[in-house]
Amino acid sequence: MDRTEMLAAIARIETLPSFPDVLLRFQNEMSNDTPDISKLAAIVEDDPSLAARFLKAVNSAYYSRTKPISSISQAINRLGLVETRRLAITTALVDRYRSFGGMVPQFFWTHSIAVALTSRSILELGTHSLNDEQKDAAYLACLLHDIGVIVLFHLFEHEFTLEYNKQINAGGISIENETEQFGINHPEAGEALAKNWNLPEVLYDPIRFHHTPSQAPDSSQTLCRLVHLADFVCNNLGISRLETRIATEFDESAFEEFHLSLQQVPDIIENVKVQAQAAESLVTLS
Amino acid sequence: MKIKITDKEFLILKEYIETHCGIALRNTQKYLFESRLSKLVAEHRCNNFTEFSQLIHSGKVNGLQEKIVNAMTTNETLWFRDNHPWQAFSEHILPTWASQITESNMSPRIWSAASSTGQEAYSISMLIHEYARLQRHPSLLQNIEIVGTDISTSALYVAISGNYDEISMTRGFIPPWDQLKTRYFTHRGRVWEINPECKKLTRFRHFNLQETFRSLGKFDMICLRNVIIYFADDFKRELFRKMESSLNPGGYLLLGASETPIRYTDNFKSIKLGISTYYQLKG
Ligand SMILES: C[S@@+](CC[C@H](N)C(=O)[O-])C[C@H]1O[C@@H](n2cnc3c(N)ncnc32)[C@H](O)[C@@H]1O
Repeated sequence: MDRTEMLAAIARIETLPSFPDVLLRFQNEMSNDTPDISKLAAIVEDDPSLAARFLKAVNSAYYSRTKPISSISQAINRLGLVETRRLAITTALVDRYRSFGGMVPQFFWTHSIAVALTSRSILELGTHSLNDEQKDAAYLACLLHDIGVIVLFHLFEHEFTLEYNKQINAGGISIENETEQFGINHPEAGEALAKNWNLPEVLYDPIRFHHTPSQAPDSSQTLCRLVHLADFVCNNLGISRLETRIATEFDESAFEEFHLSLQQVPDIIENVKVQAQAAESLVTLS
Repeated sequence: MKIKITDKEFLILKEYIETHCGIALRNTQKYLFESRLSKLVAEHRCNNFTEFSQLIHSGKVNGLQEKIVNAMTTNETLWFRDNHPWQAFSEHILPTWASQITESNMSPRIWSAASSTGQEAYSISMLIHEYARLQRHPSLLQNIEIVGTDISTSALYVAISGNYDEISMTRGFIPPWDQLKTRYFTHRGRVWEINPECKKLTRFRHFNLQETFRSLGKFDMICLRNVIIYFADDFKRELFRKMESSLNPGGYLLLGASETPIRYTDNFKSIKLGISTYYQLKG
């Protein structure tokens, strides 16, 4: 199949579990001037398995430093709306995509969540001019940056696993190899799936250009660079979805974008270690 | 995906890269541009090398020069590269320094110029630790400093992190060095991390070899390996001149296996340490 046919195939995919509707429902309610906490809580409570997981997550070491939280509305009060929404989407995704293809989903999600949490550390340690809305998009973009992998697994289960292993053994993953083999690479497949799922448009470019941020349109370059850098920084600590090989290069414009200096590398690493633990605990909640 | 380069584009870009990055290219190396720079051209949303040249000359993109150097020279490196120089380092240089430290409180400084992802600097650090341990000479660890520099921020990130994946760890760790792997690394999850005591001897910073070396201070050993091969003759001469002024009396220069000062300077003499060639200043 060539690229156009692949994109069409992805647009038609109906066999993958749909994207959890918590995102949209939260967005609708939060766009009201005075969002109703009980309605927001109901979004999570409607799905008992999500609610249970969510409560475990809020009470995990990363979030709770004080008394245990026993209800969703209590969580909203404690964490705030933005954080609650993030946590709800994160837990919903992990819950829904517990397994796919031949891949170890635990690595996949630990990596994705760690990248999302790390993007916040990067914004805190560096300087930038993103507004709250963009920062929120950044979290989601990081969380979803590799969803194209799910697509490729889904469409080419066996071949993709083979190609994947071949790449690992050859010393790294290359999106060029993916394109050659499948007519499309995982960032492109991810963008197509994001469209299929009707996700917010701000997420398309960061998913599509997370390996090649300098190719992104100017308007989305900062977000693309953020995902790119957070991805690298996690891989450097072995919090990667691949098992043996981690990338040794990043696009240097990503480092410059946030005015980070090499003196900050130890701080970045310490931060990421904490985030990685949080990510792991979110994924392994039973 | 490769982007074709025309003869004219090649000449313009070659000229730029020689003067601004110090990298020398023969006319037969057109293919190198296509294979190594196509990705950068596409990354900057240029359709061809003419647009890319214009972008470079416009000076609008920060760090583009460094990206070109990165792409052209690659960060290829490995542990204890070429083996025997490191044997010589442990058997000849370290014992000399050790007695000078005891006698005159010398504090040797080593420069891993073009350190890439840090393998050379950490190989040296491990050797110093081994020597201090086996010869019971702990003061060595207080006195020696290893400075690693490179032009590539991403390579320096890896060096500072001290984290290496399984595949990098297989490169160069052959006997007798393989035992050092368990002694000086912690294997955590999917990465091997160099131990803090090895990190402690090192300091990494961003540095372009085209700058003056004065800000770095003087050294007792300079390793400039597998990088001058890429450089134009004028730049090589300049590098040797600058290194002469940066070496302390009796200091050592170690080059890559295929590199030599011959033709670029008369001020260095070669010396044999074991079966390895090091260079020292004449006189
Ligand atoms: C092939 S690696 C050699 C690494 C190590 N010295 C070795 O022998 O294994 C070459 C390194 O030189 C660096 N380099 C190239 N040009 C440079 C320049 N002008 N200033 C500083 N570093 C440079 C590259 O970034 C790369 O990391």
